[in-house]
Amino acid sequence: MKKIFIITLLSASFFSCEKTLELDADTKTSKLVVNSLFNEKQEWRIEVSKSLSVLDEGNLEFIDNAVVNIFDKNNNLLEQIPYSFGYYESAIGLKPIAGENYNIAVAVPDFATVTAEDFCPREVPILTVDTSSATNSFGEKELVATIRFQDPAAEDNFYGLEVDLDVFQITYNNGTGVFDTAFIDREIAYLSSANPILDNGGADSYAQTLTFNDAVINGQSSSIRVSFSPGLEGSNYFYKKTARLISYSEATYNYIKSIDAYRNAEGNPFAEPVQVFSNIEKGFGIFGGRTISGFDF
Amino acid sequence: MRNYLVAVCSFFLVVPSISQVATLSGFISDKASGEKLIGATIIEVESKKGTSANLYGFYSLTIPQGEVTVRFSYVGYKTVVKKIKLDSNYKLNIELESSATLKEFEVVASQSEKIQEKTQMSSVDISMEKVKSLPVFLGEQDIMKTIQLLPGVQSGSEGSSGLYVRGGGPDQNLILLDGVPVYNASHLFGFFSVFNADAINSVQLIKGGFPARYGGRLSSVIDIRMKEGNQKEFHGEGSIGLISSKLSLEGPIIKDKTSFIISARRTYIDFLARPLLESAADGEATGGYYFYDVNAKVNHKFSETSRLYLSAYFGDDKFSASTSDSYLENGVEDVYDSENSLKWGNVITALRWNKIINDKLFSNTTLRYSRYRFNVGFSEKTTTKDNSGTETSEFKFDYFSGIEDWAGNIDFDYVPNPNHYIKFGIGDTYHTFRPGVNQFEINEDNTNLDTTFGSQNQFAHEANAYIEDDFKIGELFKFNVGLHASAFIVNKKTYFSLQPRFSGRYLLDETMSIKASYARMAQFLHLLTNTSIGLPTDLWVPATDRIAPQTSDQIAIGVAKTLKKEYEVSVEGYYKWMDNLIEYKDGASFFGSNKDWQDKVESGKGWSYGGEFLIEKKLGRTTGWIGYTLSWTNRQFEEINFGEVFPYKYDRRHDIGLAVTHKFDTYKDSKGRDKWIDVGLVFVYGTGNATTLGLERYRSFPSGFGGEEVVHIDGRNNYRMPNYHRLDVGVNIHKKKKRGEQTWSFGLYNAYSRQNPFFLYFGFENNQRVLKQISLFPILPSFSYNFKF
Repeated sequence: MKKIFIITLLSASFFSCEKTLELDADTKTSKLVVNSLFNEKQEWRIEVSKSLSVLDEGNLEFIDNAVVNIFDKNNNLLEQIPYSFGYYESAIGLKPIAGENYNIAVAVPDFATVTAEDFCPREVPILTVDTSSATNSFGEKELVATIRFQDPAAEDNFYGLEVDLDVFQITYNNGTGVFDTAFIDREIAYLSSANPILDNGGADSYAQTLTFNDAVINGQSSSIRVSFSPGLEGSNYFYKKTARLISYSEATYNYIKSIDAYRNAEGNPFAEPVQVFSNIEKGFGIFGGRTISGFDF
Repeated sequence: MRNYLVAVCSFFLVVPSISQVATLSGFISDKASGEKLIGATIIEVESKKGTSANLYGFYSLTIPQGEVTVRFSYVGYKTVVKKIKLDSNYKLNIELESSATLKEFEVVASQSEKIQEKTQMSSVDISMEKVKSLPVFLGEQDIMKTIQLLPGVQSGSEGSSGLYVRGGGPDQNLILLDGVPVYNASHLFGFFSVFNADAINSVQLIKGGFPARYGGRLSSVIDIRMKEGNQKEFHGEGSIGLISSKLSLEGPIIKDKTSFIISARRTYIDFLARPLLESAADGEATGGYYFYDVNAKVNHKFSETSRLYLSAYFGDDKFSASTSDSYLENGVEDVYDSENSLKWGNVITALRWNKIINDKLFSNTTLRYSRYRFNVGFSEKTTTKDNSGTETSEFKFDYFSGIEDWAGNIDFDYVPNPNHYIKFGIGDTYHTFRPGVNQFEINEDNTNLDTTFGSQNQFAHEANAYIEDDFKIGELFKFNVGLHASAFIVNKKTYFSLQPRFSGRYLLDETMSIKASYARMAQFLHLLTNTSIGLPTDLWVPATDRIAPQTSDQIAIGVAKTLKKEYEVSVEGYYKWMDNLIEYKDGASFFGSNKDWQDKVESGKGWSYGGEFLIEKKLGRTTGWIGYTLSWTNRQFEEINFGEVFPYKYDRRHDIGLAVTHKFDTYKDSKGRDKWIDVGLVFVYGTGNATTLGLERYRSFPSGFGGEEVVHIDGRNNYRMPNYHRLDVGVNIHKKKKRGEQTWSFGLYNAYSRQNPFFLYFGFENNQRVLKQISLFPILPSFSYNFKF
């Protein structure tokens, strides 16, 4: 395929000519970039950097002199978050609270001040996970997990679904005469599911995070059946599997969906362009809440 | 509606009972060739009652008995006036003499039906003479590029023959060749259309106010009729051009009974470009591209009331590239061979039977077949040779898509009296959709994998029925009212659609009328097209239980006027709403994914509105038109552009098209042979296309794995390319020969070498990253030698 393009371009260049176009000055002005995916189990942590024009090949530098303020829903200042080793992290152990709205304002000299607002969603627990095994259309053995949860009726909910595979190695300890287990790695399984409520589902289609919303399951007890590769086979390894149901705010959901599509489309000349969601006013990035429910199986 | 049907039925019952009238009917054709003159007008001079010849040259005029004077006329032909004693039904076949065969060009016939008198609005008849005399791209006459010069019609990117009519997409044009839909009307990635002008008799474009006989597309009808073949004597014409040559032969098989025409064209870009490509690749790669097309038609007259036609078109584009490399190291030789190909093409066939059932009722029965297919394939083969032997591994990938139709329909023209022209008919099309199949094959040592995946073939029936009446109320009001009903059956889902159609005109005076129209259209097919590339990778897919049919409602209002008998002026305003349009989702593509196409698309809506102005001069030495369009076109999809409205890629605020030709006096050369020159000029201007560009970049989150950077796109189609404008000039030098005629055509495409945008990309200049515009065609001279015998 690449050669077709080369020859097409050669053919086109037989006739073609090119010239340089000027871009609007506005696109050459750096803006603040604020990134924070916060959750109730982790202290506030915010990354601040600056954007560059696509014509500027410079580094996308972090900014360490920003004034980062977190406010509650009534605009009361909760903390001015200090800079610490590449991030702005709470100095007082302040964590978001599920169900609460938060605002952020980030000011840096010579940049327009940026703001954003989002909320920290409540946990939606996984109720059960049932497992079985199956063979996919390529003849490969797969594990099948049916993950059940109860969608809250009173609100719009947005979800991500993942399965973590913690890989442990089993070795025989000659000294003690017992088997030792050692954590090797954590993998995020590639999941496949034909459930129609999924944004990125489909038979024989795989993604690490399956996203969906409750538009058609609002208030219902629902289950998602996913299949994935069980990983390395052998007596020396075992896997601890954890299903993770991530409850997103709408902004986080939009961001996760769009960044996933963006990464998947990178380098594909045939793909439609992808807009990555941002909820930062006058800047770029994401200030969004999420809450994770885990279930080992 | 019930009253209307009663009125229609009453004509069937009442009119035959009126004893003082008689029907004059027959065919109107070209005197020299026997070619039917579609749309020729027949007017009884005293009563000013008239009609026009249908697509097969048939006319029927029921008028009071007695001595009548009837005028037969057609643009570009000498008018014939006949006095007839009409005391019973009378058959009269008329042959008109072309003004081109007369010695002086200023002797030009009177016009066909004047623009202000027609019910139809938003419609243009394109003269084939005009298509052939305008300056052309690389010497290739092109109907579609002539249509692009008309208001309301926009071209795609530079050089493209794609049509975007009143904010619609390229799939929303019903392109009919002898009544058979053409699914992909372009060669060479859209630079040329598939229609060979030498084989075409007539072209009509309709942008709105669609008569009920047309259906299945939202935005336009381009009704192209092939020539039938000379009934009188054997003739040929052809041309030798810069990139292609073509030849047409036509003549009688049985004089005045059976005739044929065959027309073929082939490019030789492959022969011209191959040495350049091989040189550029140091002999390690080769490739080529060519297209060809063949039009053929045979017709046979069984009797004065029965005629059979068999017409066919087939054409293909083929692009291929292959490379070969070998490496020798430590006695081991590796040979890498690769083959890449891209092929697409249409096959179209129609068998049609015309039957005059009585003097007022004409029928046409058609069986037709249409197929479009696209295939991209690549393969790589590695051969390793060493002392132990030879091992090969092979990888092949093929991607197929296409659509195939089998169809039948029967249509009737019923002309009860000069105040009514009724058309009705039924039809059914059986579609087979092949919306993207990937075939993947690996052969390596003892491992063989051969698998096929992708969307399943889908089958559908599309049935339709229609009735329309073009009728007068007094002399001032004339209406075309109709109903098109269609049903689409796919899998277990059935869609029904009732589409009312209306157009009407009110004569303000003899030279001016106001017109209005409304048309509801339904389209059961969608075209999936990637906006970022211009390959013929478009997939025709059906409406399904998940993807609803496209629909549109269009209203238009306008004024039409004839000035000084030579100029036709029309001003129209329109508003068009479109629902259930589809687009690929963000990040989706047709290629390399085993997802069903329905999972890759979004449904949404679009709308377009604007005004169009056209002034056209059809008579005299200087003819042509100036068209201007002011329009706005938008799209909105829930999951694209975060649900916000965005401009359509071909949202073009201003669009100007000018096309003029002038014929100079005939003079004698040294051998006493007639010689004459005509010149042509085309100018186009259009607001730049909208395109999607990311202009800023920033850190994504989480940083690290999966990449750190995001290029920010402010919105779909957020960036305007520079405006497009171009001037083409051409001159044709004609000379009568002992047998026939020769023409040397010289042209300059893009005469002032404007660098028009084709696509944009980010590149480097003086080690600085910059936005660059690629322009395809600077000033391009062309010439061709044309001959007729």
